[in-house]
Amino acid sequence: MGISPLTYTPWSGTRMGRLKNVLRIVFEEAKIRVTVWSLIIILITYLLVYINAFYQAVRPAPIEKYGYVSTIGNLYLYMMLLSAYLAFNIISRDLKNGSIILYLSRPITRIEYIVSKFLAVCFHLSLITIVPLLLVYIIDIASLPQSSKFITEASKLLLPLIGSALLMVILFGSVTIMLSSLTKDGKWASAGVFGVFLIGGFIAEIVGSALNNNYAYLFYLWNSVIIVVINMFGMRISPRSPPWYHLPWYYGLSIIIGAIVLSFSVVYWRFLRREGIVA
Amino acid sequence: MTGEIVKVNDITKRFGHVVALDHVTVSFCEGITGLLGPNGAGKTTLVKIIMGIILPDSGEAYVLGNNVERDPEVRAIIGYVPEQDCLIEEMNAVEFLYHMAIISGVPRKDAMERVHIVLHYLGVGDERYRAISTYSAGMKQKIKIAQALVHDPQIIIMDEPTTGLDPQGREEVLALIYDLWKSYRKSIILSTHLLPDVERICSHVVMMSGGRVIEAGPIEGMLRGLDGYVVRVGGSGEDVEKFAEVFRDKNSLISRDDNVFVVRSEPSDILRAAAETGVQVRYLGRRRESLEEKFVCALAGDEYGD
Repeated sequence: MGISPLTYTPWSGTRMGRLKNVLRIVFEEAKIRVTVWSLIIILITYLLVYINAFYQAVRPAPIEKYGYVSTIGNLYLYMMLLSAYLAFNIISRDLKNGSIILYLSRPITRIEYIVSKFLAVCFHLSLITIVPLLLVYIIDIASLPQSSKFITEASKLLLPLIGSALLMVILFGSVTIMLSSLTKDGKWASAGVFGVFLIGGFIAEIVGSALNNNYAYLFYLWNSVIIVVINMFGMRISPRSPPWYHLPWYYGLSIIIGAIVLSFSVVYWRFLRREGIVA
Repeated sequence: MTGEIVKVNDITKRFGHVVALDHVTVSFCEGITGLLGPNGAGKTTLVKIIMGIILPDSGEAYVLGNNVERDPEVRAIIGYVPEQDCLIEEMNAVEFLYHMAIISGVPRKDAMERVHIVLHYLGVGDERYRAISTYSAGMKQKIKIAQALVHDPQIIIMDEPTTGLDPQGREEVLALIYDLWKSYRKSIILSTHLLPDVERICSHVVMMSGGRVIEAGPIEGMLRGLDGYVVRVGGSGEDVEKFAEVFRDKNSLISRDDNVFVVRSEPSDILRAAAETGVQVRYLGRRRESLEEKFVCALAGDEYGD
């Protein structure tokens, strides 16, 4: 049997065509990254999120902002684990096994490759943020007394919920892509995730404490995330909270946006400015 | 008359202080073209520039009239077999090729069928469902070729496809390359440093050295006029010298080693010269110059026979 000609129109070149192609690649990338390990992390996350939600359900008011913020706080840890797993695989593995050259020899641009990988990472991270948070929210709504007051109160939480989750997904996604593009050895990329989100945080805390400087605390990304999230939910900050909680939310947002921009700049430099990646 | 499929126009590429390609201008025609050169000649760099994987410092590359740099979608009509490892070893062959087909733009409904057609064509049996990491070097090479065929390209660029294969694997790959052109009219650019491979299956050759093209054209034309005859003669020293003089005068003496001559002349002329000068012809046989000799001469910058 021979190889009969294939009749198809590979790529259209239009914006919509390109978007469609990127989505096809995202779907493929997202699919092949689902492994036993990623499923274990996702399942553990769901379990812990619901345990936390159940724990928070024992509370005075049916809809409690603190409960959601607490859940988002827990997600930081699980996202770190999933990001470490994804950083190990998403681009590092393409660099290690040389398949990067096959991607770049396909009719896609480098930007499409990077965007596809980023969106695939975001898809996975969304599975342990937006999806469980929305499920908890829906369960919460269903368990509310059917009072218009509670429904109005609950509806105000939807946007902050999605906004907080998206912020974390984009932050973790961009850093994951950046670290994964820097090394062929996935172990270093994974270690980098813990370095940025955990050890870097400890260093920021130590520096902040030593210098008695509240701004230094914001370089622990979790601190920046939390002051933005608290603001999104419109929560009142307790006087007993750590002093950096009282910093303006846009300081935290600036640090987060800075981290995202820096990450994409590194990826841009690695893929588009340097040819060492394939030369 | 064969059409031009790839045109490279005055391309220069530097990596730091190293000039990988130095004002390279060359065309590749339909059929199988060998891109020959020693390691470090710039073959892989040229191939990557043609593919648009790396960008030249100056000059342009066109594939079927399309500038790859400006229009990356032209890669849909090119298949690329890289020299280095490039397979996702945790996947099996079917998963890997399906992934590559989708990324190349093959519709989902056609992709799986296409994967099995290509694997069947390449003679990959049930092992297609095993992880690629368990494959032999020859099998891996077949999968590398399969991923270049899965989206049905018109042009296939292969970078050292037979390197590291055992003789049987090398034979299979060469037969496959030849069949791709003969049966399916896929034009192939075969980058290699193995001259016998080029000599066996290629119709055209581009020779490179030190980042420059030193010779390009049809192999037949390149070797035409360079064939000769080996003649071993016997006789007195004076007669043998006279015999040598006849061909030297005609400028057809290629080489001489004592009584053994290599001459570019017809057998009848050789026998006539022997009769006239009184030498005995003890051996007369055809001698065909190999591409290897041609390449060595081109490298040295010599005019053969001068």
